[in-house]
Amino acid sequence: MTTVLLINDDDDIAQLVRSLLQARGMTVLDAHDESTVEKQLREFPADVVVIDSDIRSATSLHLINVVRSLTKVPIVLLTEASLALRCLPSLDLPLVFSKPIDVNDFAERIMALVPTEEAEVLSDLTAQLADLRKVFADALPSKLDTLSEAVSAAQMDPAHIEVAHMLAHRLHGSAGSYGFEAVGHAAAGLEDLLADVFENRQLASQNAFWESVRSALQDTRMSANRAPELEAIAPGVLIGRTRAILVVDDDPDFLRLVKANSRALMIDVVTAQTPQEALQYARTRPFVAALLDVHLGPNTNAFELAKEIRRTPQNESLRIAFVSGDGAMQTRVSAIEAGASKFLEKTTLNDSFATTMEAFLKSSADDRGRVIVVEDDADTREMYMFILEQAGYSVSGLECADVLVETLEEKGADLLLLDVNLPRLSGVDVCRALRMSERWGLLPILIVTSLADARLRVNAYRAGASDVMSKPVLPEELVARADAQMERARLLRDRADKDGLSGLMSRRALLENFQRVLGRCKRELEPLALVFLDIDRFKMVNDTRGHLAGDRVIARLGELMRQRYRVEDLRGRWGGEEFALVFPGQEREFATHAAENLLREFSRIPFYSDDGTEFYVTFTAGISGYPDDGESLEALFRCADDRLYAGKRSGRNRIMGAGSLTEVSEIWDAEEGL
Amino acid sequence: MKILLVDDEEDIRKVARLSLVGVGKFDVMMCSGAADALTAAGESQFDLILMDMMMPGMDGLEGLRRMREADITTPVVFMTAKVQKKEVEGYLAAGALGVIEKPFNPMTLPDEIRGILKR
Repeated sequence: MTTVLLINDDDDIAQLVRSLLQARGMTVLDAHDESTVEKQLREFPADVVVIDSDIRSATSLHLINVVRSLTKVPIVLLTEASLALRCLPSLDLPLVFSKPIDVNDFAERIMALVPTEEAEVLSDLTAQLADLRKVFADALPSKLDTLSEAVSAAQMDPAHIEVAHMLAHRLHGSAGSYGFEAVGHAAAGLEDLLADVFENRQLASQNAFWESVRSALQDTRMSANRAPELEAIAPGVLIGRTRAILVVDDDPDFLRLVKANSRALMIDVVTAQTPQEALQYARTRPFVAALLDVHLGPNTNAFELAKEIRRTPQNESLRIAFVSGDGAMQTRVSAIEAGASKFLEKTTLNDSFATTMEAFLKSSADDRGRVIVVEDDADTREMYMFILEQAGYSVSGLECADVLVETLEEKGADLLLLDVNLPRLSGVDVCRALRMSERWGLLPILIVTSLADARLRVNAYRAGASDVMSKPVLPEELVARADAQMERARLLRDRADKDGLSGLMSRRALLENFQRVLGRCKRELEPLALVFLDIDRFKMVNDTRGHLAGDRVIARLGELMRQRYRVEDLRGRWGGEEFALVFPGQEREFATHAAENLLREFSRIPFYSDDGTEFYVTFTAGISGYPDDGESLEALFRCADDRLYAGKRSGRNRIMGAGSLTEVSEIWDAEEGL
Repeated sequence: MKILLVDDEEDIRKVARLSLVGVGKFDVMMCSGAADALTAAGESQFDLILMDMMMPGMDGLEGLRRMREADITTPVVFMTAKVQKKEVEGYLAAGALGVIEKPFNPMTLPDEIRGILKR
């Protein structure tokens, strides 16, 4: 409970202020002169002292000094406008009001001055946590020294490996909990390396092994050096979701180069020299993107590795780029099937690395969601924007709602953060207006109020706010509320846009996205290719193998299509046993290769009928391309559909490209088995 | 709610205690090893034991096994950096109520624990 000491001898004003503050749950005590002030403050510690300057027995300046000698709580001065101007600068008071006061404004700002209990506890906690982290940070260099010594001792005598492993393990577990995530990850790499020796004792006698241990140790040290810089940017903010990029290459020099580059770009890069290492990282954390060398050594297939990384639950939608000097069609097809959005050449990497990674970070933020923040106070607005950007959102800011609708239309938004007190229109009115429009009727809107006033909350909800939060805004709370709104919106969208059985886009979502992508290709003079495919003799599969087996076929093909290709390629279930695949920026030839590979893979998957017998399934596909086969969505679908039916008539189990008949000869002829 | 926190590492005990007491408003008692935890859990009643997996001497799984042998039925949640599916399945099969990944976020750890208890 907040206690306010009101020093005043004008009963009318005292009455007004008292009832205002009491209505908001505060306890109000009175004092009329210097001696009662002393008595009250000694007996009942106040949280705020309000001084009215019209006091005859002492000047307000003297009273301020008396209060200051007794307590450190904020002092609010109520005074004549002329007096306020004269004494303001020298007094260093948090609030000065000139009479007559605006009662609501007055109460609200007094409330804002007194931290609410919960906020106090949390800010206190954050401070304690910051202290703990400081202690940890101070001890970190000596921990790293101990770790280095343990590694050296282990190299001399493998009996000490266990000690080094334990130290790395501890650092792995603790560093991240103290906010030093990069140190934790690097230590995890070291821990895993050292654990390998337990399985294979031979390693301990190999120089190459100790070299990689040394480099992992070096990584750990480097990330420890970098941590304080990040701290300086975000003091006390614990919510920063890392936006890290995974780089996989067997060449340590290249990895060092990338690390150096990424530091300059302020991108968090995690490097892995082996596929095992890369997968270990991918299983434990989400990445924004992965950059893989196509040539990862003789026994490693980089494309398979990319697919496996994408199969880890946290990295289903990460961007993938390959580094290679080889631009052959089959390599490109394999790369795109493995999800590559970008091909980089090692020789020109310095320039293209920066632009590619920045584009990846940007598009990943767009994927997470776009937030528009409307708040007139520049500092507050920037704080909200910083917090939300740290949480991985793409954020833009406005100081008033005047151009809000234009901004919404131009940039789109997944969440709107509205302050209640805006110039001209209030946030509540803005919210009400948006709710009346069809287009923005469902947009999640989060309203921030500085009044912990139930009536205002009710008004905000009545106006259609999805959520209301009051100042002071805690970073964690802001992110948690934004996340919750986004997640709800995403679930609703998914339910409408996703086909339940295949997990691909629904027909409607595919059409909408296709239209958008086609428009962009036209503007940017890029080609586009469409694959329209139909599972062969699916009715017979359902009739002879059972409907559940038919469902499994649809689900498996959907899964295969989800696991392949780039994030930007569209994959949808058209209906029944028909599917569509759209490759923006690619020619028909490419799509034909890709469809052939898909057919080959799909036709080798064994299915089991409801009674347990094994069977195989094929499909037939028609390809069409913009601009060669037409300019409109309808023309492209019609053309692909014509080719698909030509393929069905000429025997099924084949891909029909532009005019020429392409048959995949070595595949299993599944129809024999039906 | 009373929690017994078991971790061999002081740094983790410090930050986890702050989180559990400060953010979570739990009552917390701490041990630096599974052997001590066995004694503590035998002597007083806890609502939950939050235990590190990898500790020198007796590890978390062994600690859990011995508790069950001693008829201590308090639910156990492991804290570990090893959270691959196979490993987690192993912990759950051994009778753990849930697993919390290390590193943890001290601001959200109590929520994670409540989430596990609710399941």
